[in-house]
Amino acid sequence: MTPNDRSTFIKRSSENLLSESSLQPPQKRYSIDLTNDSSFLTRSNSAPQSRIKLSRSPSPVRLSRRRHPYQFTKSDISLTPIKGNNDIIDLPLLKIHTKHTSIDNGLPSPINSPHKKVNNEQSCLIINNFAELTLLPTPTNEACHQIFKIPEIVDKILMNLYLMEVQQVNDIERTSSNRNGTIDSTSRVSSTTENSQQLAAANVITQRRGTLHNCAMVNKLWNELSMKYLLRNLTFKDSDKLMNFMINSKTIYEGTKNQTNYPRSMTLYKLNRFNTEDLSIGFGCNDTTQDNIHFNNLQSLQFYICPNLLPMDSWFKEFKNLKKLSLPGNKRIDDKFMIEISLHLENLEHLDLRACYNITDVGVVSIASRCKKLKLINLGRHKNGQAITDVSLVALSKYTHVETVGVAGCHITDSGLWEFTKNNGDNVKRLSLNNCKGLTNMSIPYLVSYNYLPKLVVLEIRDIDHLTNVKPLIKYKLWKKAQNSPLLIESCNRITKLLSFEEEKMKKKRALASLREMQQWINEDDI
Amino acid sequence: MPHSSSRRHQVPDVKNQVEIQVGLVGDAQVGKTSLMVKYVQNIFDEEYTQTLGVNFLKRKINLRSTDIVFSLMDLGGQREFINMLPLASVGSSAIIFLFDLTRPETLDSVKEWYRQVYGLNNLAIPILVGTKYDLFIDMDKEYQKQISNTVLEYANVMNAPIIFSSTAKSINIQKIFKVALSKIFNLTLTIPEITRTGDPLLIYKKFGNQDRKSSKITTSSSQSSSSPASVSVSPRKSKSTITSS
Repeated sequence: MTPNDRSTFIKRSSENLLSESSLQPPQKRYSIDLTNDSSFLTRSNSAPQSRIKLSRSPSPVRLSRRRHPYQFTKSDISLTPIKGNNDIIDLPLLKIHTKHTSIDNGLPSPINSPHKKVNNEQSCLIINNFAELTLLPTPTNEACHQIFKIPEIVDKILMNLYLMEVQQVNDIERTSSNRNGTIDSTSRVSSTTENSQQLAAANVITQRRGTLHNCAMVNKLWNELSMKYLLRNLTFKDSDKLMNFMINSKTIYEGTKNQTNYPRSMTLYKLNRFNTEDLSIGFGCNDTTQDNIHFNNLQSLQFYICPNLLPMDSWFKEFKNLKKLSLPGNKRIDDKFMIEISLHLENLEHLDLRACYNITDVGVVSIASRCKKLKLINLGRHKNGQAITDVSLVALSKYTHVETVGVAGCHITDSGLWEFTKNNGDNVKRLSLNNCKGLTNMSIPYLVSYNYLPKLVVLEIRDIDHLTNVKPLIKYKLWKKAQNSPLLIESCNRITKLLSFEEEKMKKKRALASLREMQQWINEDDI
Repeated sequence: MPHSSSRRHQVPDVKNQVEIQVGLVGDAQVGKTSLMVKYVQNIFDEEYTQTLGVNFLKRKINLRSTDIVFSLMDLGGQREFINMLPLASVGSSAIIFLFDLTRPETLDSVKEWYRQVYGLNNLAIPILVGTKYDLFIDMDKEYQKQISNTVLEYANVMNAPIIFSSTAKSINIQKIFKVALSKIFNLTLTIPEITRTGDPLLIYKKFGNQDRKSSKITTSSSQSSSSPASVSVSPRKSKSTITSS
């Protein structure tokens, strides 16, 4: 392509576009400013390169025939003289504006890799398409998209949100309970950290007010539909808010009469001064027929740091589906309460009654005999340990297949533990025996060395003063590790020291034995 | 009671597991792979198969309360596999340098192999192994003597036990690894040495011994407390520790 050809191209391609432009003689060079920083054709020494580029441009005939996306109109093009670097002649700068220039500054030019530009444009299109889905009216877009007015679709969206939030809480609960196998403070099977994390997770949702919460504030339809999910999990940390909710519960649940809206979980946290009477007043009356709220769907009921608060008697008969009951540190809970509530808790799996000092063997036996599905029970306590004895432990082992047992600080003896493991040892995964002063060397060391607790994962033996024979424990621990099911032993300073001393001794002994055997082997005759 | 206490057995003792990684290096066609396969599977194949990269085999030896596991890493002898040398040498407690007794140039290049390996792992016990002894024995007496003397010089410099072996005729194969184990753990080996020229040499007593006094069989308490997970027996090798599995 000669400079002559090139100029004719420019001439031809622009002849029907340019009217007033003063076309230069062929010797003169043009600078077409296609993109902002296009260096193309601006310098005389880059001319040969630019020629090649130009030869790839679409034919001017096609340009003129139909409206090409990149086609520019007369008015879009202007020629401005620029100063050439080395040239004495001023070169005009061709500036082209099209409707696309608003999308990005450069003209989507076939000369400068058209593909990129097209992609850019497509992504813009996609964004534009989704922009139409804006829910809230924006200055430019007055109404929300139609699909947000269809209850079924909105319901699906909200249901997924709900499931995500539930999942989130469950995940946090699970990871926390997995990680710190158990307890930090002296008398708990589910650790305080775990609880605090659970609560933290719950708080995250309530504090951030959750996405669902925001959804409830969009409009009437959204409110109606998201309330359905919001009402499934109730968490209150503030007595005023709880009171508010209870007073309004009539209206709240009236609108949504169907059963799915009744709560699945209820968590009250730090309601120190709140007591059961307040609760019954709040929820209307003691007349069960007029109750506004029902607990037929309730799976989890947790009162943390609510020492004076008990679930109302009238609720008990609706606890058919209750799986998890956590009432730690409750002062009012006693055997009478336990006997009454146990009549209704046939599906209970998780019972946390730590630091409920008024519960004795009587209450535990009634629970054990009726809650066949019980998997976790925590009776750990600092005070009134004599109230829980071997009777509870044996009852649990006889009637249930409980996996996690916390009897920290209770009056358990060797014979009770033997009886328990004989009946239920195959199921036990976590066992907390902290501070059980009645235990001696006659139980734990033998139980582990004969593998009476094959599934054991966590064993807590803090402050068992009469436990001194830890060698079997170490042997068992090493054996479990070799079986690929490591055992975590939580112990106090004294026992930890004993354990590590014994472990060191054992390892040294075995290393020496190995060396002796190896020496013997290398000196044996080969074949 | 539904449970019979008779099924309860005392938890058995856990076996100690001693894992030893051994690297095999040397020129092409000296018999590294053959030696490894012979030791692990007791098979000898006349056919030559070029090793591409690194071959890996394990042999487990069951003792009464200990399992010894030899992990053998066999590096292809071609120059292009030199960049895989770290695989065979890093983490190995012993490196076996093989050369072909019938090809003196392979002994010559042991120098270069040793230099390379030493740069990567200066703690491993070197062991100098001459292969194809069954062919060597038929060669000229003068040549045998010359080779033996050179090997002895090499062994002196490398501080490496010497073993002449034959994979085809199963000569000294087991002993290579027994010598390795004895050097790694500073065990006392009482197999008689073979030093007469022309015999399958087995000279180990004066080579490859650890200089430091602390590396006696006994485990010093300071070490074990620093790494309670495994009682390290020999301070010279980081990898060869006795661990219970």
